[in-house]
Amino acid sequence: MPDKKEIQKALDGLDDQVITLVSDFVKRRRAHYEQAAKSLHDQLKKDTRRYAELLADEKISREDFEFLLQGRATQLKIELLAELAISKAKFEDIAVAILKLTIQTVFALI
Amino acid sequence: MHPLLLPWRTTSFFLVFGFLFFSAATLPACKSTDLVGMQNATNLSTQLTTLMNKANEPFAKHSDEIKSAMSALMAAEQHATEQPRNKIIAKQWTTLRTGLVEPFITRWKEGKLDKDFIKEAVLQVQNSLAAIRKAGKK
Repeated sequence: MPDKKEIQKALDGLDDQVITLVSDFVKRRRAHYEQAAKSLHDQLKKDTRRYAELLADEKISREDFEFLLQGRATQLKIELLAELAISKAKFEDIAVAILKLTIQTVFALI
Repeated sequence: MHPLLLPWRTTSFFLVFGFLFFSAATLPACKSTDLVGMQNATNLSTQLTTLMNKANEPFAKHSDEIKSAMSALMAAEQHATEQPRNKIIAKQWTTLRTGLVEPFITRWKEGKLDKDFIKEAVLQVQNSLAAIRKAGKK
């Protein structure tokens, strides 16, 4: 029969592991965010420069240029929502990882 | 033993059962990929691109095609809205429709559009649909 004290000790021992697990996910997420933000910003600069060149070369009108800038802002909004969806999924990954760790620990003792 | 305390065997049974129940209830919450939504994004990328590339021609010539594309876009948006835990992707579809596609159609209705402008507007729609697919793959 499993020892209650052993189970309590094992579950208390998970505290540090949970903290490590969460900080690992956050580190990875931070790196992902930095990379995503840089990539989105680089692309935004590239596109805006291209629109400005088209305007300077009179290939598009001022009205077209403003329309494209507005459209590009909308595209950025959709791209940011994609990042938000991914971060939410990562949060669910953390919850599942903690759950697995806890279940495995308890099963190992009983 | 105190009568209010359950025997250890019963307690451990409830503990394990509780964990199993919790995991069974929680794991489906990890959203699986919406295959219909992904297919909608792929199909509309082709349909909208083909349509928008014709905006250097008169609007009236393509009115049926425009109606069909707009219906498909609204159906995709509706599908996304009806999926559980899909608020963000539904918001992406609405933003695509109201912020990119409808304004483009409105401008086209006012008159034919230039090729260079169309090329850039098409790129914005394609990249936005790619972002919707990316969010769907999470």
